[in-house]
Amino acid sequence: MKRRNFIQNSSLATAGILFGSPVLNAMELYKDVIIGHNNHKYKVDLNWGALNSNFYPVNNCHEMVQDSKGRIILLTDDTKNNVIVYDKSGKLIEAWGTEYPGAHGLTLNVENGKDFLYIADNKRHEVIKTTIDGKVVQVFKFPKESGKYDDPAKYIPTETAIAANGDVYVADGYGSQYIMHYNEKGELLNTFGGRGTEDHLFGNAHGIVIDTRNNADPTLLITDRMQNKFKRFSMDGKYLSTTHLPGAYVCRPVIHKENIYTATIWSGDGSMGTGFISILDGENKLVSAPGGSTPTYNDDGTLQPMHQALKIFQNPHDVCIDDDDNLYIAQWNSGKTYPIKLTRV
Amino acid sequence: MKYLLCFFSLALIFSCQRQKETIGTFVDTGDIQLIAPTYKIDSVFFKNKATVAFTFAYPNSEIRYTTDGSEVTAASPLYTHPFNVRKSCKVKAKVFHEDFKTSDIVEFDAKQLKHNISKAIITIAPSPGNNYTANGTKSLVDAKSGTLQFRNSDRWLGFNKDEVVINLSLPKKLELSKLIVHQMTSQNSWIFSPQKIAVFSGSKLIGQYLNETAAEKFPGDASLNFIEIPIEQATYESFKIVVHNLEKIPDWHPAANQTPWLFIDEIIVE
Repeated sequence: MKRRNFIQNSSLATAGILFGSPVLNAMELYKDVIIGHNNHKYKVDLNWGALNSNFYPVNNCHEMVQDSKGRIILLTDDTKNNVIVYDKSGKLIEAWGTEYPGAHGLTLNVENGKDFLYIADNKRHEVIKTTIDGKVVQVFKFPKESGKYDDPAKYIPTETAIAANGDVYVADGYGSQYIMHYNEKGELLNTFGGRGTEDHLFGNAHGIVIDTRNNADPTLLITDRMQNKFKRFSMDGKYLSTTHLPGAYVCRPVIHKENIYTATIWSGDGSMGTGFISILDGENKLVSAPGGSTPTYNDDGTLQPMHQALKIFQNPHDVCIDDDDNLYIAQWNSGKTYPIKLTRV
Repeated sequence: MKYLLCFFSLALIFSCQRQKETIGTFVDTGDIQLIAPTYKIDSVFFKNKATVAFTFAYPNSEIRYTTDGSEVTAASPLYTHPFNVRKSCKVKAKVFHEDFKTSDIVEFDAKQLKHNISKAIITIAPSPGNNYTANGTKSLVDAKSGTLQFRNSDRWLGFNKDEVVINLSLPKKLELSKLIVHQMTSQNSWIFSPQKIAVFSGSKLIGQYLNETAAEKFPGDASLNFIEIPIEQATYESFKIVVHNLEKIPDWHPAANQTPWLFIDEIIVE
């Protein structure tokens, strides 16, 4: 009897599906979101990398990189596991790191064929270099020798960049806004920048990268998030030019092929909880803004103010581009969520 | 019956597979909400008219709006270009798109000034904080509103004090029954609503506003508000307005126990 009931019910349901009930019509409307513009369009996977938070918790997901083996490495400021290593499908490979309460900046550099990580810790007020499996090999301490600081608390490094010759640049993005330039031994060679609104100064020097797209003439690209700008400097710290992205509170620039990618943590007037991803072309023009408004340039070459268009990202903080041109988005203050993957279409 | 069952089972399996395939890994358009449009108005209070403009740069999206206080629906007027408002009203707007969830509403009041008191004489004690002095005391009667972008603005007077006393002498006698203070609340930026505003004529209290919820956490990031204070209907030449700030930023806030900021940009009489 029970079985017959079941059959009857399921038959009814099936008939409903066959004959176009409202349920079916609703299903037919399912359509994957595609975000971004021009040649940079993506589908969105919100569940990528989700783990059991009792065992592998995240707090803020600050930055991500891909290593030489193709693995995706996430840096979070949860000291149960500061570093979580995934494969590209989001499967956990390993997790390590308990000593980085202010884990913020993550840069990968290949030195003599080996991967090394540089972790900018804004609670320890220093930068730590480790092997790919977490062995500490060098610490860039609070740069007293710069003469710019009377107190380690005023030095809050957010990001590092490593040059081909081994020189290390550190951006003091939450501190006094100076850029430290070290040689590979950790000897301070130069200090430039500082807080201010002039071209060569910063409101929030949140990120730094070496722009190697012109191999013959590498330059430093440094974020001024508060001013919605990337500022270009020579390798010895001379200001060169600015790329202004009004309405885009850009985090660190990430170079991949001919493009610059960056997570844009807030948009518009800088309200929290907003944000999108920004992709610039070889001419440093914004060509795609996944989750954001359509980038439009005025005749005079200025960009019309950007804003979030779709509620997908919440305070996106970094973008990692893998060898298939897919993106992984780490988010700050998003309710302890794991990263979001964007699959290029 | 058996064949029929088989057929239905197959159909069911087919439909399940289809469902799985389409719902799958990626986010569906129907689960994503649009962001509310951004708006610009030259001033939320005005003598003759104010111009309203909305922005939302996303393909195939529509901004729809109302100015009569009614809810915004897919049938409301379509926004195509900036428009003028010529009387007091509530402006509301939402973004619509056939694939996505409709945005939250954006709404704001636009108020036509009944009296021009731009020649009023104003003194304020204590003085506003360094970066928020607007264009001096006259800014309170210049018919120009500030926006939520208060930094580097010349519209807002900001105070970081317990109490602010504003003496206002009208350019001529007016029969009035209401005084309105336009202010901003942005708790993330330490800017709170006043706790109390008392209006005096001479030494006589003629009207009072009490805000029981000034210390509560507001939803949303920031808002502009008209605080209406009924006063005894009479002919007035001058007022003393005492604005009481919240004493301390409440415990739930990261800046607990600090003195909050108080931001005002206009005093309006009706």
